[in-house]
Amino acid sequence: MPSHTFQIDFKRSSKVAVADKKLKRALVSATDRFRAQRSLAVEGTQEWEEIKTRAREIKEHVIDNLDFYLEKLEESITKAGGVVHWARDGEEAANIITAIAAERGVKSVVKSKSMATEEIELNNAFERNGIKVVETDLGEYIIQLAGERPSHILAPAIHKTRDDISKLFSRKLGVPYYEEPEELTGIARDKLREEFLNADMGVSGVNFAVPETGTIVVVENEGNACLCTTLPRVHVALMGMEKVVPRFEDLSIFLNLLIKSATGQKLSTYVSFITGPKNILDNDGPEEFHLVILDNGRSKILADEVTRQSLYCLRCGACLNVCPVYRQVGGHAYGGVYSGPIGAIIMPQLMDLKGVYELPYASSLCGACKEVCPVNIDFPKVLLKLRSDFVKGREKGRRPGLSERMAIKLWRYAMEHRRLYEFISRIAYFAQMPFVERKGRRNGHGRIGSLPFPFSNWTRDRDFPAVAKKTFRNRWRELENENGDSEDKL
Amino acid sequence: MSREAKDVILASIRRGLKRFEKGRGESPAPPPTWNAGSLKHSYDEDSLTREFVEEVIKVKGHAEVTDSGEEILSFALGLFEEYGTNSCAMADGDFLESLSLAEHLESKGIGVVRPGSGDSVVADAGIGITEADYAISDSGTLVLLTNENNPRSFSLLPPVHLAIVKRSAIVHNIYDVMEELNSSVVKYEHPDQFPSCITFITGPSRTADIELNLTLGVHGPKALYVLVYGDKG
Ligand code: SF4
Repeated sequence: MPSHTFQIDFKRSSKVAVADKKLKRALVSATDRFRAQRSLAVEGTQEWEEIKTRAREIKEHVIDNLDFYLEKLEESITKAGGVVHWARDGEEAANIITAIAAERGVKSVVKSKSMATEEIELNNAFERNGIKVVETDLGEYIIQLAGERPSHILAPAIHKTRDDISKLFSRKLGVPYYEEPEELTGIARDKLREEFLNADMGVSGVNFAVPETGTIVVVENEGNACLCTTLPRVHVALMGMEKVVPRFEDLSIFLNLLIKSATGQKLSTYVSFITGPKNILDNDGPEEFHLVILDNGRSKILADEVTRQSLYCLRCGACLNVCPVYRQVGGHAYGGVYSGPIGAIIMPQLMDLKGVYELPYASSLCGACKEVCPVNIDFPKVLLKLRSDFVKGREKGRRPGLSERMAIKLWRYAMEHRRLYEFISRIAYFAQMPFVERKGRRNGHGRIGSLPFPFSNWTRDRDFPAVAKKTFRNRWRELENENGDSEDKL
Repeated sequence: MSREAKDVILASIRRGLKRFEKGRGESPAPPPTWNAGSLKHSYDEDSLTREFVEEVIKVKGHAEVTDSGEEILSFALGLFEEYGTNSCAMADGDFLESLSLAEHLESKGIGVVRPGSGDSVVADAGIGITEADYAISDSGTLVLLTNENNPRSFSLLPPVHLAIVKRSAIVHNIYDVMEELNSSVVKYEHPDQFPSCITFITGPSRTADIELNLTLGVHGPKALYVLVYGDKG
C-alpha cells in the first residue's frame, strides 16, 4: 500500500476553514464567478441538453466496454510510436514514471496541472529519487512553493491572497515585494521559462484519450501544458483509466461540455491533441511519448452498478462551485486530492483512509451538483449508496457505534407499537426540557443542540428537533373534532 | 511487470462488468456521435469572417481583415516597431512563402528564425509568425497542425504571436472543424502523416490564479494578432 500523506478529518478541518474569514471571502467570490460564467455559456448553447444526454450515453458505453477501449488505445498509441504502461495503484504509477526518468538520466522535470498526479503524489516520488520537479501552472507553482495542496480543481491557489503570494515570492525566490498580479505573473514567467528550457522531461495529465487514433487531449489556459509537452525530450502523460472517448469526432461535444462547465469559455485558450511523440520530420516536440494508464481503485468503482457513474466525471469543477458545503469550507477541508461533491463520492471509493468514509456525509443532498453536472451524475443516489454501504459495515471496522444501533432498534420497535410510542413521546417531552433551545428559532419549535452521553454522539454534528408537546396523531384528532372536515384546512 | 499489471487491470474490469469471457470481444458499437446538423446555417465567408474577428477581439486578441500582401507586410513591420524587436520566428507555410514575407522582412534588417532552430533561439525571437490551418468563427479560435514546416513552439515561445488565416479556412463552430479534421487527418494511412500535435489557440495565454485577476502572457504570448487574408467579398 502506498504511504499516503493525505489526512482526512473533515469535521476538524471544516471547523478551521469556516472560522477563516479570508478564505471564505475568496471561496465565495471564486465560486460565484465560475457559476456566473458557466450559466452564461450554457444559456448561449442551444444544444446543451442534447449534447449532455449524448455525452452521458457515450460515457456509459465506454465504461461498459472499458477493457476493449483501453486495449485499442494502447494499440493506436503504439502504432503512433508511443509507449503505454499500466499501473494498478498509485505507487506502481509513481514507480513507472520515476523509472522512466531514472533510466534516461533525467535531472529535472516540468509538470502541468493534473489531478491524477496529485492523487498518486508524484512530486514526492520524484523528490525521493533525487529528481527536481517543478509545477508550472501558476496556481500550482504558488502552492508548490508554499508546500500546500490545491484547494480547487480549476483555481488551485484560490485560498491565497495577493499579499500572501507577494510575500511567498520574495521569501522563496529572493525577489523584491511586488504586489501587482502582472508583476507577480511576470516573475513566475521568467523563472519558469528557464525551467522549461532546461527540463529533460515533461509530465502532463490527460483530459480525454481517443482509442480510434491514439490521441490524448490536454485543455488549459496558460500555455504551460503546451510547453511541458513540447520542449523536453520525454513526455509522460498520466491518465485515470476512465478518461476515454471512443472516436475522434466525439471530442467536439466533450470539449464543449467540459470547458463551458468549467470556466464558461467557449474554448479554453489552449487545447492540444497529442498523438505519439514528434514525427520523424517534425522540427520540435518530444522524442519519446509515454502514457501511464492508472487504475488505483477505479476498477472497484466500476464494479458497483450504482456508483459506477462516478467514473463519467470530466473534472470540470462545476459541482464544487454550486455546493453549499464546498462554498463554506473549500478544498482543503476534504483532506485529499478531490474535493466538493465529486470528492465526496470518489475519495471513499479510491482511497481506504481513516476519515474518508465521512466525506459522503459532507453534503446536504440538495442536488445542486446533479443539476450542473455535464454528464448527469446522480449525486444524491451515489451519496446515499455510499452512506448505506458504510452503515452496513461493508467497510470493515467502520460500523456505527453500538449506542446508535441500539437506539435505532428501539426506535423501530416503538414505531411499530403505537401506545408505547405515545407513552415514550410524553416522557421525552418532559425529559428533554433542560436541553431545548428556543432562542432565535423562527417557528418557535425548539432544537436540541447538545445532549449528554450517549446521545452526544448525535448532537455533536447536528441539532436534534425537540419533541413536540402533542403528537401528530393527537393534533390530527383535535383538528378533526374542531372542524368536522380537516381536509380544507391542512 | 507491466504485462502483469495490464492483465490484472483488464481482468478486474471484466469482473466488475460481470463479463467473464476472456480476450478481446467484438468491436463494440458506440452510440452515434451527436449530429450537429441542427446547428448548420448557410454561413457565407463574409459573415464567418466578421464573427471570427469579433470573437478574437472578445478573447483579448487583435484581428483585422486584409486583402493585400503589402498590407500584411506593413502590419508586421508596425508590430516590430511597437514591440521594439527586430527578430521573429516564422513558419514555412505555403501562403507565407507566396508572399515572400521572410525575404521582405530580412531586407528591412529583421532576423528571421526558421523551422529547425533550437528552442532557445525561438524563445529569443520577438514575434512568432504562423499560418493557421483552420479557424473557428464562433469562438475566435486558430487551429494549427504541427509538421516540419510548422513547429509547435513558434506560436508559443515568442512573446507576441502573429497568425495569418485565409478567409476560406474559417469554419463556424467546433463541430465543423472536427468534421474537417475527421475527414482529413484521421484518415491518413501512415501514422507519421497524422500530426503529432494539433493546437487550438483561443486568444493570448492567460491566468486568473492571483485573486481571479485576468493576466495575459503567463507562459505563452501576451499578445495575439490575427490577419484574415482573402478577397473581400
Ligand atoms: S462530477 Fe460532474 S460537475 Fe462535478 S467535476 Fe465531475 S463532471 Fe464536473
